[in-house]
Amino acid sequence: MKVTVKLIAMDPFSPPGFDSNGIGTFTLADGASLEDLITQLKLPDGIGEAYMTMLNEDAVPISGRAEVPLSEGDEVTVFPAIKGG
Amino acid sequence: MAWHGKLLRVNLTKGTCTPEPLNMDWVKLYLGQRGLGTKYLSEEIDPKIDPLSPDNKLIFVTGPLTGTCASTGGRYSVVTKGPLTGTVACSNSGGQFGGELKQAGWDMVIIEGKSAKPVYLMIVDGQAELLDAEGFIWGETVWDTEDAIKKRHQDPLIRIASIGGAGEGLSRYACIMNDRDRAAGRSGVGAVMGSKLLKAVAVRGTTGVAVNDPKRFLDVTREKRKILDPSPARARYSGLGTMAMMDVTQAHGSLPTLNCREVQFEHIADVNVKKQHTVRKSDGEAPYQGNKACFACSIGCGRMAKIDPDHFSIKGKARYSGVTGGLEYESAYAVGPMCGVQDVEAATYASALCNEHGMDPISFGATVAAAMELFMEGAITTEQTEGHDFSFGNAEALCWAAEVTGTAQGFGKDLGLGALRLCEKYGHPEFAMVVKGQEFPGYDPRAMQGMALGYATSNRGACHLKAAPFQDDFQRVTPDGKAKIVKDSQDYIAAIDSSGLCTFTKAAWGAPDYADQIDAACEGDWTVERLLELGERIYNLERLFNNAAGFTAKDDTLPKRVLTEPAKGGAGKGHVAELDKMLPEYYELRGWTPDGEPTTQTLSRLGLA
Repeated sequence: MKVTVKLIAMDPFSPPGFDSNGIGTFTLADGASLEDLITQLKLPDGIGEAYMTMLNEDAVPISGRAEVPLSEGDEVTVFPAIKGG
Repeated sequence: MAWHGKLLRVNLTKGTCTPEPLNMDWVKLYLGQRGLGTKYLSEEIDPKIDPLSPDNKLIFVTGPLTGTCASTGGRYSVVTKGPLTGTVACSNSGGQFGGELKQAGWDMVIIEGKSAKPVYLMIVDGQAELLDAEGFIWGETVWDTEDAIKKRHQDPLIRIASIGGAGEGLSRYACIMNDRDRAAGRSGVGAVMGSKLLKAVAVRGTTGVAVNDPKRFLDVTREKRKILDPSPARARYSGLGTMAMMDVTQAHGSLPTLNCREVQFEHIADVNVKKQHTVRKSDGEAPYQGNKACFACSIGCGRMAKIDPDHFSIKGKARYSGVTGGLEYESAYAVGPMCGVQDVEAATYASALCNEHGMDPISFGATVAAAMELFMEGAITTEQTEGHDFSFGNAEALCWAAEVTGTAQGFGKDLGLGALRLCEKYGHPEFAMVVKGQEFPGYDPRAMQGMALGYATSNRGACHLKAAPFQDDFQRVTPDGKAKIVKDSQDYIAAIDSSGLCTFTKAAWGAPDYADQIDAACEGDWTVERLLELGERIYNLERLFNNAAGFTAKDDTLPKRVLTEPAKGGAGKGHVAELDKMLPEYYELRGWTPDGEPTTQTLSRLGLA
């Protein structure tokens, strides 16, 4: 299945597979979870970093990603937990 | 050590500048900056006074790490009773001023009384004097004030904290600006300075700051930079700045839009960070021009911008053709989506005017948004707005509003009241998106339940910097568990706000990193546990001040709109702010009564009894 991923607030860390707008299409095995997708994206690690995810318009807790299956055509938004100022 | 043990007391009524020893017993309990300033304020003024009366005091206070080589160690706070809210006000600023004040040999400056004529305070190391501002800088902008003082005293390295027209005109959300575009921004501390006829505090410091264990301090601060500097958070703050947040709140559905009628902005692409970095056809340049770092900072998040020379806002105005501070997320949200304005150049101009005239862009933008809603509902007309169409989205109206509010002219005087007083004046207090009179920052509290609680219980009114529920809020919309996250982060932040370091370092450092640096700089054992207890003590001291000023649990609330009108999109779609489900648990965790007052046991535990 294919899902669309939108990375926001990530530049200059956008990993391969994303266009200049931070949007990429990824192919996963049927039955793959949101956690599987995040692992596949190979986001950079860092102290204090945690990546937030939204599946379509719903926020998904980090702790619950492994139990959230993805479906063909899903849209996933990924962003770091930054603060304004 | 790390403290000089010395404060400067300036009595404007008498025209005196008097050194005093710092109360080192209080330092042990309140550290510096926010904590120590609040302790002095609580001891020296009656919380019930009029904030704009001579009885109020204005305290410029550094932290133990201010002026040192610790990364971001340039922060200072201004503590006073705030004229926007009537609560204790503590506004934190960076730039170079705080480090300079500390290097001049002062931990704190307490301003009291009221001058008979406009003056400015000149500090050169251990010497301080009040000088005449009438016919010199009174009536001038922040930018011209800084230039004039440096020229008169023939020293470009003098650092200046001053007020502009908003402070002189007693706008309820006037800032104290330093280094042109850094601000002790919130709660109207600049109006208190204006009420005392004090135009500026200028300082030149060459004495340095001693620390308890210099070698260990150098080793520890170097070690902490090795954590901070390579972190993704630091690179993002530097690379994109705080503006990166706008795409996040847009996606999440927590971007306050059209005075919180909406939670997402349909024209986001016209005002977001990508637009800020997009090269214009007119002059071949992008609004974003580069970064600006504060004293000792290795992050460098500050944005510098250049306005399109062809934009209507600056036609014929050469003083705005150069590079100026902005846009940052909070100002951009307020003068952009909150007002429905989809013009990044107009937003940059409005933000620049906030710097030039010394007013809080968050409160200014949210007040203009409230005025726009009043206009849309017919409560104000072109009669008040001097012919300007105040419909949501009108960039021309926004720019005009910044001009007249910054100079306290005409309808600008109404806008300078802040959203609550403006909306009350025109019969619709429900249009004011405020807590305790202070306007919302850039997070809608319906999708962010922790932020809802953080706004409601912040000791200075609606604030995004006094609690840190972001990470949990971006994962869960439900209110369960938020009370502990908010309470713990409020205490933690109160300690950081008292250290001399910047709150943005939280993205890379944990509590032990702060404790290690303070412990190396200061005498005594500074552990994580001691810091967190100190933070809780400060939070409760602020609460005691507010309670004594007349605030109760009834004031720990939010505007009716976010309590009753569900969000229309994003992760919080269908949700309202569920404050009633969080407040009782929060009070219990705090050790407060159901009326929101610290219990005797809590006060005793924290040494506040």
